[in-house]
Amino acid sequence: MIPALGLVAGIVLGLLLQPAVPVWAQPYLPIAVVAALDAVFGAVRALLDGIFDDKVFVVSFLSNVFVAAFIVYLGDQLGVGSQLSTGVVVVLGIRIFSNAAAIRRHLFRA
Amino acid sequence: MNAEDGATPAPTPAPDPGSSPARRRDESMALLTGVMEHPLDLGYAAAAERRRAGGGPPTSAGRSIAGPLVLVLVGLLLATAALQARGQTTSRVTERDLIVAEIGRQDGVAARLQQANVALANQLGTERTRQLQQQAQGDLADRVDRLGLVTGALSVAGPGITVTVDDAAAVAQAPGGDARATTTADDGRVLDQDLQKVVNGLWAAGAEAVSVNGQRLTALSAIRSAGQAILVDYRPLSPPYRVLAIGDPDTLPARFADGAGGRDLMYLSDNFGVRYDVTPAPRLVLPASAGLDVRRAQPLTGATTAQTGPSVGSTSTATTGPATPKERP
Repeated sequence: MIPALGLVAGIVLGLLLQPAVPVWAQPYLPIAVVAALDAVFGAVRALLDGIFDDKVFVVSFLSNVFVAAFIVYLGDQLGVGSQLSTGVVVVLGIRIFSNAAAIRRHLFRA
Repeated sequence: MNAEDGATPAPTPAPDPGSSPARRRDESMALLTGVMEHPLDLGYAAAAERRRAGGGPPTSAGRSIAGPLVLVLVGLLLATAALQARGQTTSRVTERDLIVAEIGRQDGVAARLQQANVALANQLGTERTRQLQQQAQGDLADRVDRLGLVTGALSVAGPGITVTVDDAAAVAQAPGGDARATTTADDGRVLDQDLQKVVNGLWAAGAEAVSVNGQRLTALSAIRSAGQAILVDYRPLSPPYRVLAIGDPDTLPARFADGAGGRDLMYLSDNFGVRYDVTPAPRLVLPASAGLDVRRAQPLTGATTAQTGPSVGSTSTATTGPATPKERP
């Protein structure tokens, strides 16, 4: 319950404050969001599996966001930024889908 | 690891990576298989294993504030990214705004510097006049002033006329079109040569000082075009073009209208719809030229050198020795 409230509080905070994203960080924001979603779905599945761990969640969230943004940054420097973005989104998307499927099985037994 | 959760059960029992005989058929796709079969961070299973080994429950859910805090962060990220994607502050718009703001800022800086330049030139002029007066060389000071008026080095005031020239209404209504498209509407655009003819017509009609949109014209001024913009002394102007000319208020308008400049304007107006307007003014103030800078030309000194003309050789410098002693080694 409290985690869901935290998520809602974060969204409301973002909508109210409308934080200004510096220009240099703008290309990495969407990738960071996808990485964050991956961490969240992984955490929900772990919770339902009964093996959730706070520390692993925090660390995986931070490292996911950082690594995803870093990969895209590296790609930008090498001239393959958009291709690497696509790659990161595909991999994270597959993980999100798999985890979402597991969550679905837990919740609906189907 | 957690094969019992049945996410995507492997078709064959997971082999030991060390044993070569039981190779999986899809081994070449190990990367994709890994992504498909272990979507969950392996850290969760490892942590659960450790906790089980320690004798506690496998989960630590709801025992620390770190999880909810990270979720607040996630929500913040989501909302921010969504707002960005909505185009409220997309990067392209931001960059454009930044560039526009920078252009405006630099324009302001340039205008300030120009004003400072003019002020300093005025100060220099008054200081020079004062010095010359002190040295009892009043006629020299007068000459400097007169030359300043004629060359455009000093700002001047006096009666004259204002000639306002503007693009045809059809052009003014459709600005920002493709610069390369030459439509019929483009015929009504004022060109640099039109402005040149107007200015030349004003000089011919007896104007003593002319400025275009605040740019004082001198003997070194150029009126030319870059793209669709007209440049005077390399400064772009935007229509309407206001040409101020100081001269005899009684004769200047009539002489201009009868001369080539006035006839040209009338022709442009009749055939292409270029709008223009000539109004006499009792007092006009024209600024000093900001770009009056002579780099190569030297004044001739002494009567003998003046007569030798352009072919001043080493021999003539020798004959005019007293006048230019500093040129001797």
